[in-house]
Amino acid sequence: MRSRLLLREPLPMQPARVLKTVAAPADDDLLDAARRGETRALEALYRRHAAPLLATITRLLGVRADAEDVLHDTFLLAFQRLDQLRDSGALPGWLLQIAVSFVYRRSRRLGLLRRLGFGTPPDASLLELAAAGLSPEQHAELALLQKTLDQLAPKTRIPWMLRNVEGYALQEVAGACACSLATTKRRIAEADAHIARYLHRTEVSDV
Amino acid sequence: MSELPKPIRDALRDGGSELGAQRVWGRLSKTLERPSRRIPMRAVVAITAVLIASVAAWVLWPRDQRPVGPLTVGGETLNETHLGALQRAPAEIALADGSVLRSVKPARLELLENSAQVFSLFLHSGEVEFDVQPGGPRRWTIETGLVTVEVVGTKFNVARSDDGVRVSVERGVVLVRGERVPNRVRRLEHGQSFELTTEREAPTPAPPPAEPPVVRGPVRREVLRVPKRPVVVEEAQAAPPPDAGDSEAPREKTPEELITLADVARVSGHPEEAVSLLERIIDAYPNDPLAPVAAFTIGKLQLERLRDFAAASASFERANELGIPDALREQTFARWVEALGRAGQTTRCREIAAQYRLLFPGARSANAAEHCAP
Repeated sequence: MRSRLLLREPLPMQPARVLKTVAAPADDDLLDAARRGETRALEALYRRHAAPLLATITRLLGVRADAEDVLHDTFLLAFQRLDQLRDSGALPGWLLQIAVSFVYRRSRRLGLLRRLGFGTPPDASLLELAAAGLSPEQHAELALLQKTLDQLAPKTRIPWMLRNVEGYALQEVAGACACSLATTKRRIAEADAHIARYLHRTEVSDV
Repeated sequence: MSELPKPIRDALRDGGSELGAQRVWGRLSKTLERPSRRIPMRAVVAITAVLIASVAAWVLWPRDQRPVGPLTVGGETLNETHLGALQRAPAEIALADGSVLRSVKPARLELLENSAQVFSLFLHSGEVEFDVQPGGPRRWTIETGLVTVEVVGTKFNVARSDDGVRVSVERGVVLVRGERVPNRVRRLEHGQSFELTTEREAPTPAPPPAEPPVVRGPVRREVLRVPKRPVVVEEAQAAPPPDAGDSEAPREKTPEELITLADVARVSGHPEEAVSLLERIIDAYPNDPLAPVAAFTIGKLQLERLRDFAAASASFERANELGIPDALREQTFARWVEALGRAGQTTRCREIAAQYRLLFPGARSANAAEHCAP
């Protein structure tokens, strides 16, 4: 009844509000609010970190739909375990570590399905993601590189890609792969040797 | 030389990650709004482990060694006082395991044995309906003097009178054993009954020489055929077989024969004779497996019937020395402590009570030392 009356009454004119530009809240504040269960804080954290993370996952997996699934699972798990994160500065690395663990799992599954003939064809290979303006040689090299990377096992391919495609520091790659620095270096070196054999490249990763 | 920049990402597009992220948020926000129905993996692992452990424990638990005590009534171990209630009819005793004894006619019952494995009664007279809880750990036997009724779980009726005995089964199966039962044993199923009348024999001065008075076999549960026990006891104690020549030494009875005779004496109200017979087992066959059992039975008779507590404690000690079987070891120690306590041997009582607690920490009479209080 009341709502009807309200609807019939003419709405009073609201004075125009002046929107002030405010500084975006820090991850610390957002994390505190998110831990209290505020959905807006969760959304803000997501919007801040999701796009770059999705780009990385897409390049690692080469299949957009799978990359989106991994991103979903990554943030779902991260939001469920926000209490475990002490330092807000570690949030991007923590998200990457979760995402990479899901990428490992998804890569193994994709590999198995492809061997059985059920795999989703890649729609985000390095060649398909090539930026405009690359030379034909660069296109050719991307295509060859993708073909060579496809031959590698996830445990060597992913550290190599994090180091050489994404440009993460070795320490960050080791953290993301949840293995020691020495292991990370060894795996990247293995991948380098494989790639060098196929591409006849002389240079190796900066390890 | 590579044509690609380092990192290679600089030569790639972001692949529509903003749009993709927007799509994913649509799914994620819906997932976050839903209450989580997912059971944490740790809980799943814990529940699974508990289930497996429970199943393993249930399968592997040695049931025969479970510490099941004697049958109780209202928290008290069943005793003669409880059974006295059945001397009126109708009356009933509800046992802790769900079994019920119900007197149809005034009945005189005697408790022969009440342990974790065996529950044995002697029905002197009257009629009792036994409703035995199936699947119980104890073997029930009802002695009547004429027949022995063995049962695991069933409902049956036993009527004992001067004229004989009648066993009728309402549910389940019972075995009726006895010397005069055709083929010595008869299986009765529900609805069946068996009746045996007492022999009316003309009084004779002496028993026929050809028929030994002792029943054969490993028969602690065997027929108690002779109504006048003292005659049997005398036979067993002294008399050589009538056909034995003077040159032959009188044959000593086997431990089984002696224990059967002792049973006869015991259930017919002659504990002294029973003790005497059992002592002959220990004297003549000290290495026989029945010797420690005989010593235990002597101790029990001295403790419960003869009230000679000092002698009882000595008998239990002897049973222990002779190597009482594990099944009776705990009972031996419990009664030994009780006998010492009643005999007033406080120091020795505490000593044995300490040993008892050490040997059987979870036993029913773990507070046995209470018997030792001066």
